[in-house]
Amino acid sequence: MKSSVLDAPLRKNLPFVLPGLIIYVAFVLGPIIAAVVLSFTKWDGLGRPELAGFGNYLQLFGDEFFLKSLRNNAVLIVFYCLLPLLIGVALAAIVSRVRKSEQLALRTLLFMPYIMPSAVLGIIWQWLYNPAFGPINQILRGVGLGALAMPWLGDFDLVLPAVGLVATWYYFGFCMVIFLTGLQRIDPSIFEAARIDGAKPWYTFGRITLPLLLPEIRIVLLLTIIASIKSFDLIFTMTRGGPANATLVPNIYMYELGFQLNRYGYAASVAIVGAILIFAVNYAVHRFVRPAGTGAR
Amino acid sequence: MGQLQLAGVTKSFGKAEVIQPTDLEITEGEFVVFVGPSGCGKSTLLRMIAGLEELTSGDIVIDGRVVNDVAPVERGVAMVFQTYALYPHMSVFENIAFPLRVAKLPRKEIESRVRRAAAILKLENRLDHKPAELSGGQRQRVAIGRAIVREPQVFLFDEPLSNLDAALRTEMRVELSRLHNSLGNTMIYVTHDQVEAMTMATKIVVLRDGHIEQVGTPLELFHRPVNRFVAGFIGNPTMNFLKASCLGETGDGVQLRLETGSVVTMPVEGAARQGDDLTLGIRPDDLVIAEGAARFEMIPEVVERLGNQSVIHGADMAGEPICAVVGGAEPITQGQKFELGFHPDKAHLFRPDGTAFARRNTALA
Repeated sequence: MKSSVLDAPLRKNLPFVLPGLIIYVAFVLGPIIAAVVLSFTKWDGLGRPELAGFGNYLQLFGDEFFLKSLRNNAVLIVFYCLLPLLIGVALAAIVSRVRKSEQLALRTLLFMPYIMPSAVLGIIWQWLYNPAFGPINQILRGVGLGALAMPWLGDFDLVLPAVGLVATWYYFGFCMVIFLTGLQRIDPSIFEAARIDGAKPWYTFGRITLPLLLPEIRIVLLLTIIASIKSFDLIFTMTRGGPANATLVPNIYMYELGFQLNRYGYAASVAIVGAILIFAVNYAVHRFVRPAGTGAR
Repeated sequence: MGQLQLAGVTKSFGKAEVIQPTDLEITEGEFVVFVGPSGCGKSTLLRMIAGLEELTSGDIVIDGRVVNDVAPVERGVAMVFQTYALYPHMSVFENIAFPLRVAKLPRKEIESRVRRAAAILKLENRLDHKPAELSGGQRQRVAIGRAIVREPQVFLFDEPLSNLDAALRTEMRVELSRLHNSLGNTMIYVTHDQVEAMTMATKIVVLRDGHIEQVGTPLELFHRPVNRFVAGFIGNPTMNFLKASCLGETGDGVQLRLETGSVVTMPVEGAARQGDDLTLGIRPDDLVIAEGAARFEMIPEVVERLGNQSVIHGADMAGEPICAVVGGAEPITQGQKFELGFHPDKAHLFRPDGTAFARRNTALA
């Protein structure tokens, strides 16, 4: 039997692999290693880095700004992950029952925010939230609800939910599309069998639809939690972490430390902690959200 | 309990009428098989009975109650799907128990009913397994178990064996017939496989293009098909159809000439005029080598040797395709012509519009 080209000696295959490998090492692996190394140093970006051991990390966990950024991030997970997931599942359940032609229109409409650059959305929503001439407050005043017209991005308590809701609006269409594909994957006769067995829609949803959507729920959880931990552009364009660090998140903090305060070593340690958090969440989701029905016990 | 009546039932999807006005009576304990080619409306009819499709017009009556607007669960029917429709994340026990949990039956009652169904279906050792860990036949039995525990008046089966391999299909066919004998419930079974229909049914309903072509016992359909479609659909291998020209009526029946030149008198009732283009139907099993009142020569093209019998595919001297089933020891070889014949009382005669002449003195057994 003719052997595969992949069975050839390494030196013969290397020319095929090398271009991709060089790009990967130069732009992904190299910077990761550099960031890890940098996180153990003090460096202002100009002089020679000074070895700091675990000093940056020890300082980080006593740093009230970093801890606040983590707390803010935890709140944002609700808006980046939980709400889009719930809205996405509900919308998928509704849209999947609509006729095909109308379903296409609805799907496109609801998915639309996701195709726009989030930085552009941040600028648009900053304008929408503008306390003086922003359409949201204008409409509230127009319908006699002027008392509810708030300085959305200027209030310490409102700003985080206000920014978070934009993320929810950005991600729910994406979640819905993932869940719709999940629903299409499920054999429709399963739902018909449940109907003949007398299961009401809510019972069917809880006992059959949701468990069978676990693979999609897992993907959505992974992607949205990672997105929330990586969140930067939306917040940067809307509030730059303000007011008074009310929307500070680790990535904004890392940006400020590195590119405004020239504390590259310390900023790298923030980035590394963020990466570790992403790995930890990935592991937790993989560990605890297990798709059913694969026969695994 | 378990009586079902369809009265003027129709179903349209948009402008397409997939079920034409249909009347059908099913009595208690019958094993009724809806059979027909793909797209004939048999599954739609079953789904209408189940309550999964709304009727366009007409009534479905179960045990004297019109159930047109009654929810599926309240119709007293249980359905087994072609794809099994098992809940993949639940164990076999939970799958079978599902309708009982929906009905909020006490835990002990659920336990006992599931165990009873599992015993009937020989699934006792599989109750903790997930459907993915079962073979096709076992999955199908779980689906049947889920139907049994509901203790319905009518069981509905939608091509339940079509996903199984040939050996398992034969095994499950026997098991389903055995189950019908032991439970005694009314069962309605949809299939496109006429062998399943013939072997399992007490009554067969042959459908074509949303219309019932014939209703009857398997032997009635086999021996007295009302038209050429039913004659061709029932029986394996399918019936041979030979062009014939009517020479006139005699006291013994209708005399006709085959394309090969053979003249034969068919013992049938009904009027036929000289010159009418008729079709003679003869089943492959009723063709015999060098015997019978009517004879013609056949050139074999393919010889399928099955051991106890051989199936010969070929053509007569007029070029019409012929299939014959002969004894396994017959020395038939490809390309070497031989003489075939048949007894007219075994053959069928069809008018130009496809309807059958009634045969005289045809015993069903």
